[in-house]
Amino acid sequence: MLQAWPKRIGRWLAILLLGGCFGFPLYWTLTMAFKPEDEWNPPGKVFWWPGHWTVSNFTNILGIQGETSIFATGRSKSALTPIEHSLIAAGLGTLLALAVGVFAAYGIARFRAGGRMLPFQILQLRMFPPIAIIIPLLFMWVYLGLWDTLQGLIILYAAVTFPFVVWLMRSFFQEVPREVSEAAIVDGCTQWGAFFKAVLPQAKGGLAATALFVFILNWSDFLIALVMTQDHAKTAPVYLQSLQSGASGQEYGNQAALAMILIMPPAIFGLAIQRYLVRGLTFGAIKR
Amino acid sequence: MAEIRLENLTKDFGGLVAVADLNLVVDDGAFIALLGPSGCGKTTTMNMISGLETPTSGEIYFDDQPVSRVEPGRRNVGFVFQNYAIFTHMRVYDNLAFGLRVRKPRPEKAEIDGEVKRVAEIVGVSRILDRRAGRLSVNDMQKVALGRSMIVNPAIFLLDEPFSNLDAAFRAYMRAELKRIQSEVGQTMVYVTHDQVEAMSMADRIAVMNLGVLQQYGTPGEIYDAPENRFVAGFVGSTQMNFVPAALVPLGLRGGVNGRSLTVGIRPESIRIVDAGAPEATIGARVTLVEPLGAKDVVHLAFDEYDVRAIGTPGERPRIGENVGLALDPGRVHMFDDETGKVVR
Amino acid sequence: MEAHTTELPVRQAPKRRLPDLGGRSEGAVSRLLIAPGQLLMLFIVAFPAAVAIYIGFTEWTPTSGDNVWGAYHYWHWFDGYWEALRSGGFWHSVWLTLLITVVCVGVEFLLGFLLALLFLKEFRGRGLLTLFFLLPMMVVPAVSGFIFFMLFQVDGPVNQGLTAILPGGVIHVHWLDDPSLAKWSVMTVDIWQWTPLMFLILLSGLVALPEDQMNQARILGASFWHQFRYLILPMMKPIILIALIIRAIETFKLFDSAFLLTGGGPGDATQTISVYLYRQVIINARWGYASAVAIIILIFVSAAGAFAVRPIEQAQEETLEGLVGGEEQVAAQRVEEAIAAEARI
Repeated sequence: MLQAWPKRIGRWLAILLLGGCFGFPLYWTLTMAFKPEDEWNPPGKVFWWPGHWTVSNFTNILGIQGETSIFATGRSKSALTPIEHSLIAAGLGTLLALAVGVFAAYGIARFRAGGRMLPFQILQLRMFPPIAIIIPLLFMWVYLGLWDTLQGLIILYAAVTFPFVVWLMRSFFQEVPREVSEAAIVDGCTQWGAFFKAVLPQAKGGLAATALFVFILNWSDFLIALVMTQDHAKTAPVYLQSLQSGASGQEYGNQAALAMILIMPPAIFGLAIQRYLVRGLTFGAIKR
Repeated sequence: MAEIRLENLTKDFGGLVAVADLNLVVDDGAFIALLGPSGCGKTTTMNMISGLETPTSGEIYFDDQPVSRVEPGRRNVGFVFQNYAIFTHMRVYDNLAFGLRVRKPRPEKAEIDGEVKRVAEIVGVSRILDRRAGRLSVNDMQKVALGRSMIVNPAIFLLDEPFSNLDAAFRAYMRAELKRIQSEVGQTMVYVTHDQVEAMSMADRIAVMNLGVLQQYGTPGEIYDAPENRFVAGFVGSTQMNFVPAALVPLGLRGGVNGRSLTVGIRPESIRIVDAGAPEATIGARVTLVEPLGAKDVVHLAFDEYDVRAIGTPGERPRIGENVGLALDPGRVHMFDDETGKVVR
Repeated sequence: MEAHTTELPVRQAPKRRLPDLGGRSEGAVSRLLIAPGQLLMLFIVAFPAAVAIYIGFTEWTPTSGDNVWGAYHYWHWFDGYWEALRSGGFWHSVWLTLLITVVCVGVEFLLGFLLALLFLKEFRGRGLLTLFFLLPMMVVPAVSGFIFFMLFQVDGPVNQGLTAILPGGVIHVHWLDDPSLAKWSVMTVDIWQWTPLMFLILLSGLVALPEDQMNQARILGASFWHQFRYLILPMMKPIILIALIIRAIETFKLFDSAFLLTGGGPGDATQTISVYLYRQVIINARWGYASAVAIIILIFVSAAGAFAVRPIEQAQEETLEGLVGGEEQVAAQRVEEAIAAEARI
């Protein structure tokens, strides 16, 4: 009855149509990354499929070998350094956020630390447009010598994703039964011991998911890096934007190659933790 | 209010045959029970009757109309689930009114209101009509579930273990209520249960099922006193029937045996405990355990290597280890073919 | 001057070895646990916010020659706030941002719901297709801006594709340059990127709907639309609310994709509130004025945020209780029954 023929076809058609719309931009970027220069933007024509496949865009953008574009002159013009910066800043920022946030989350989950309203105050932090406090942060950073440094970025990333860590780990800790830590204490552990030896191992999966989730957030940052970095700590998304606004005309292939590189880590991590994505993006409110 | 006829009904879940070639007729206005252990196919059968599942083969007739292609909403059946499935986010009133509100054409508000109040009175929820259904006690939820299905006056009522979650006192009350309602309105009721006491006490006829196959379909008396196979004999009866190889029991066997291996079945209450060696004693056994149940004792005895249970009177309790005689009532002995399980008369 | 590091009151727990159990040690532990986090937030959020308020009362710019501590030389009370509230540019960006938020969240919701309904029933390849539809969500937002920058070029694939499909001459739509079209292009990016999130959230809600209640509705004769209106929608309310609120909050802050797509232009056609602030800070360097604007935004967002807290809290409760039809009570009663039954025998 519900498997009737027209309904099935209708569903597949809808899925195909929507899939095409949602998939095309990625398809375009992927193929563009492998197109040779003469296929990027030929006048009056569009290459829906690469005529010739090439990896020269990737080698160009990473500055691996000089070829036809302005990136030929070596490392300072390649995206390799910005990519490194993104990795380091996102990675260490995530670790710092975890270090601070996991303890806070435990305190809130187990002991209602900070009172009943604290979790929601943390949620409210997330609602501020970051640009709003960027001004004082900007000259604070300049004043402290943290502007345009990786350390400065790391601290900022940690602060910005700290609310996520708290909310996520709180919901994960709430799923560990109280009896686990109580049993450990009865066995002679201190509160700290109970936490590290009994509770935390139980929340391992949640911790991993939170870590990956926060990494994706930090990796995806644009605004903070845009304002807080220039030459020395520029991250990959900012570098992409600077290429795009460059006066020398658009080099779609190279830019698309960089875009693909940027997409890879979140795509892989995201698919790995997709079970937890809903929980993460709704601050733990929905726990499927 | 409708006769149900199941013809060669089969449901195959790609390898697992839940219901195999079921043939059953439920008379108009009858109250029958589908009895059997978990996995016997009773719930699947109910789902097919209601329309939630389509049969793999076979047909279902309501008053000679084939319905297996008809949508559940059009079959005029009511279904009470085991966990009631009431609409918890609505008020009790809205739960009851639901069936009428989705009708085409939608009845007038006044008419709906009248019907809701009427049904609420019958099942006994008039005082809590405004309460949110999710906040009721289990007993009240039950009533709401019943009322919700009743309001659309279905010709056939299907109930899937509806009382198993209630406390015992309320369960007995609801059973009586259900029978009362049914005899007043005259709906055909199919009642699924794994509790044979419930089936025996409520149903006009019982359909015993096991592993998707109908074992026996008859009145409670027939099921109890004349089981057609070993499964039925063993399944029904609060203290289980005793099964012992026929070769060990010196009874004058009726008719020839034809070389078949047989098992004797006899219910504990058909065994009398007498002195060992007394003339009435058919066999001897040794007492191993006595379970005092207040009004009666269940006496466990060792006979050969078998555990035999008999019902004893508390006043004449034998001692453990004592050797006694067991008088078997010959009129109440059943014999089952070991190969087919069927009864031999 | 080290004022900002020594003047902040930081709560620290006394450093002593904690006893094993007991309420008091718990208090000390909890304070210690959240101390680093509080420190971080004070440093990165609270203190800068305070400074922003301070600067907001001045007309200070970094090019004025004084450093921030001399900003009070340019004190002008609420002039900055009045200017903002009278500024066409400010209100334009506020309305634009609100428009974008409403349209994007609305379309994402509808499309996401459609997708979730399509994916509700099991079908071949559903798992893989779900992963496929999740991809846009994982893309770095700045990169999405860039991707659509490529697509929306006047001689880019979108126009070329339309030319091929639609009759008439060559399509030369200026998706990015045309001031009236540019904002729709920005909305397209956001919709592309975040519909999958709505899809995920709504699907998880739909899947959790109690099947028995839906079945019961079918049996009572409810059509799909009835089920949708009376059951699906009300039961999904908390989840829907959360999804809408979360997306609205994030969309309001929109910056990355707009910046890469059009740079905020042409003119102020895609100048969301974040872009507006960015321009005031980086391009005009009017830090005093920008701080005032930022404070206005902060107040507005905090007020709106107060509305968000309750639905999120409610959702965390409701997903436990309301949807399950009292199964907890049923289970609890069963346990009680079992204990009572044992006690009787």
